[in-house]
Amino acid sequence: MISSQRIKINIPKKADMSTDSFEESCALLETAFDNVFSDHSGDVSFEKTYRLVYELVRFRYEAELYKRLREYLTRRFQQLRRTRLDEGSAQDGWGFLERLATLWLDTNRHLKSVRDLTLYLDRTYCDRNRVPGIIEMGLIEFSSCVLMPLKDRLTREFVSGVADIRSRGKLSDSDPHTESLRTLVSMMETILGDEDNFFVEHVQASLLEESGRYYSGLISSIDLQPMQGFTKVKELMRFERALDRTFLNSDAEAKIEKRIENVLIWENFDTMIAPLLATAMTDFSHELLAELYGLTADKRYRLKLKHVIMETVVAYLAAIRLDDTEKKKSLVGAKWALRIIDSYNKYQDLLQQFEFESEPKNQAQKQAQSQEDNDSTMDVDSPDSSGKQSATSLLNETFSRFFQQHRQQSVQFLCFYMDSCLKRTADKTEISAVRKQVLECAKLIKLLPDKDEFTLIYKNQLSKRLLQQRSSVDTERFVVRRISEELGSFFTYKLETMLRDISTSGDIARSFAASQRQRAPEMSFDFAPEVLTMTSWPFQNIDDLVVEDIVLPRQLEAARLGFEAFYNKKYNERSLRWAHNLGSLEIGHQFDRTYHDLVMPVYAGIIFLLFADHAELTTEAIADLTNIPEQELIRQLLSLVMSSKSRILKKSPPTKSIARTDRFTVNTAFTAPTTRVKVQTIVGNLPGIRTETNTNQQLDRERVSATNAAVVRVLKQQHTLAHAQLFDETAAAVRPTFALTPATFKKSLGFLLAKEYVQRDPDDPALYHYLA
Amino acid sequence: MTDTSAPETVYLIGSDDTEHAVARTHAMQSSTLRSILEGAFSDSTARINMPSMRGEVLDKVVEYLDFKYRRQHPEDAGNGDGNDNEDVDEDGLANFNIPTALSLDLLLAADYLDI
Repeated sequence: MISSQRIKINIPKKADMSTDSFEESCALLETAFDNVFSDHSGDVSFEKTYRLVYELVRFRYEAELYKRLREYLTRRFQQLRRTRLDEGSAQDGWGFLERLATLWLDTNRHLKSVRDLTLYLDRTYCDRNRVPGIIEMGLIEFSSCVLMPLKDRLTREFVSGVADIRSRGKLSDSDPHTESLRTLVSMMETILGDEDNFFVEHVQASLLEESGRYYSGLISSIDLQPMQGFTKVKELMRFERALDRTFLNSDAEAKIEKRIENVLIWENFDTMIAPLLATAMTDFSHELLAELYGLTADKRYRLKLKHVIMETVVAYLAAIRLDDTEKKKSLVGAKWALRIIDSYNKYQDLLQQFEFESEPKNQAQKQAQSQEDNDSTMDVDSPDSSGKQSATSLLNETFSRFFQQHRQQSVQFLCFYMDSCLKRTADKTEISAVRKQVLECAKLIKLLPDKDEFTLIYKNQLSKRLLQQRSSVDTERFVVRRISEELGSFFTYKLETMLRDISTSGDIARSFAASQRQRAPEMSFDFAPEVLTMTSWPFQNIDDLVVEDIVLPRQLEAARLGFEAFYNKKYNERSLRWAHNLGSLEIGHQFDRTYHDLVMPVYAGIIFLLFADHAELTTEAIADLTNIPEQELIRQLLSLVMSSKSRILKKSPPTKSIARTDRFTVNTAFTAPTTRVKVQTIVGNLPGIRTETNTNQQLDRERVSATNAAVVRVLKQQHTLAHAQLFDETAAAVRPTFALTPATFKKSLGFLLAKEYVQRDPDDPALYHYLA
Repeated sequence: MTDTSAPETVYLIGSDDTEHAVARTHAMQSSTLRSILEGAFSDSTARINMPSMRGEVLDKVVEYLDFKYRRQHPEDAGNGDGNDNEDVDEDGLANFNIPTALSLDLLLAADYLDI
């Protein structure tokens, strides 16, 4: 075979045009398309049509074919618009929308068929020549021939269609109307305009506008109570969300939701949301709060809610009335504090599951700024990095704001509360309950603006409790540790020393008692000396306390001397001074009818013990025998004869004042329901425990010196500062301890100027220099 | 063979009236065939006339459709029917042999069917 050596390729036989001319082919194609558009595609042979297109393309007619196809579609769509939409244009509303939706669905189907038939053209021509594919081209024609001329009508009908569904107020799954709306939205989103899709460019704005108007009109036409209004709003929003979900994409949905929130929530915030929130907060209604909070996730809304919550809480706290029926201020205060603590716990329960938005950035930064100068104590209030704020931190912020507004009261009353709690630990049964209460209280202490004042008052109260053994020392220690955790050991250093004094004294007393037993086993009473470190206890001047030449009864004097000898042997560098008036005596005495253990201050005890040797004594005689200073003597005598529950002395004449010649005898007729009787001291308390003004003075002094130190530290770094700035920085520096007032600041600056630590600028009196 | 066959198989009818069975899923790889099969046209049946192609070309087309399908779905390739025209290259993948004589015809067919 000759040809066996050569590669043989069959030449396909030359394919002729199956039709005679281009025009003829076009006519055939048009018929096919007509069939497609009239839903008679079953009459069209795919293979033949496809081959027709194939041949036209192969014979280089593709550009012309594309053009003809475009013209055909234009004609077709214009005609469709006329016949299917314009015709019977009186039929508006849903009729129009439904027709358009159907037309769209048909067109999609038809265009796909046309594309299939002209697949070869689509494939070989469009991409290569960068013209829109057959379907895209069809959609463009659809848009320009059908949608654009109907733009306004479509918008109008669409918006009123939505309004119509809204006014019906309920949704059903298979509502043909929502179905049409969905189809139309998907159509409008498919058709692209110059910048965005048709829906966004032409319809969305009106829809938003109308939605806002609709709900605004709706909600203002019905005048409802907040609660009903809220229910209504919730209902409307739920409905609208469900409705939007049926036909809108999430983007448009969010926009509508926002618009409607504006109308429903913001326009009604003050009349509806705020009062409801207040109700929720005062009723501690967790449910209502959750609903209000869950209304929308809008950050602005939640931030505003947070503010209202804070305001409400502060108002709620401020509304806690002092109980005027109690006579004693400390009881009133303790009750008040209890309710505050109670509210704190309740609010914490109420709010704990919510997460709050923190303030916008700039404010947070400011806060951070002030924290830098500050020590770390403010950290508790700062929002965490995620921009969220926990309920605890919110509450802390709120309560500290409240305390700021009610400074004096809050500090004092919290102290009273602690005091009353701790006093209950004396009989050991309530310790665990008290611990819990104190722990709760301790959370609030760190929120107080004037922590130094707290420490001061607390110290006074602690000293009283310790010396009069009114509480369990273990619990006291526990509490002080707790306070130290909250405030830092700076505040509790002296408190700790006080507690240490008490326990060391206990040790010393025990070893002294042991040594005494060896030497003089007949010692007839218990002696509990307490050795206190002067500087840590809240007694200002030791000379106020110590009266050197008191004449003690024999046994006491012996004990005193014995202990002094013992103590000096142990610590021979230290000197002991006796503050009798801080101590107390317990004396057993058989009255005519009953036996009683009488607990009384040392001075009262000394006086009472005189009557062991004397049947009757005058004031003068008592003064001579005891050397008790006169004022103190009068006070003690008054207490012994006047106090209602513990009148153990009788006086003649029975007047209400003490004269030097008055005569005293033991009130043998005295009796009381309990064996143990505490002899009340009438006027005031133990000397050395300061009155309120005294406290304030000391506070002032401490603050001025703390301010001095702070001013010097600030100026040392900055060298020169203007008045306002210096004040700000100093205030920031002392904030962990107390809130700086201009008065304190002025006092401190005056001191520093006088001492020449600081100099005023000669030219600018508002400028200060640091003098090294 | 008649039209009663399962819809999973379609038949391509060549210009010489020969029938060439091919699995529907395999045929769907050609966008032209897919348009026919998915459309609602007069010839959207299981028997598709391909008057522009001769039987021997259609044979090759069907073979290629099968080959391509197996190539793209190697997990289904267990049913190797031992086609003589398959070699195996060094990757272990089959090669498709094109008879030189038919190359131009096949080129046109591939273009027409978009495979």
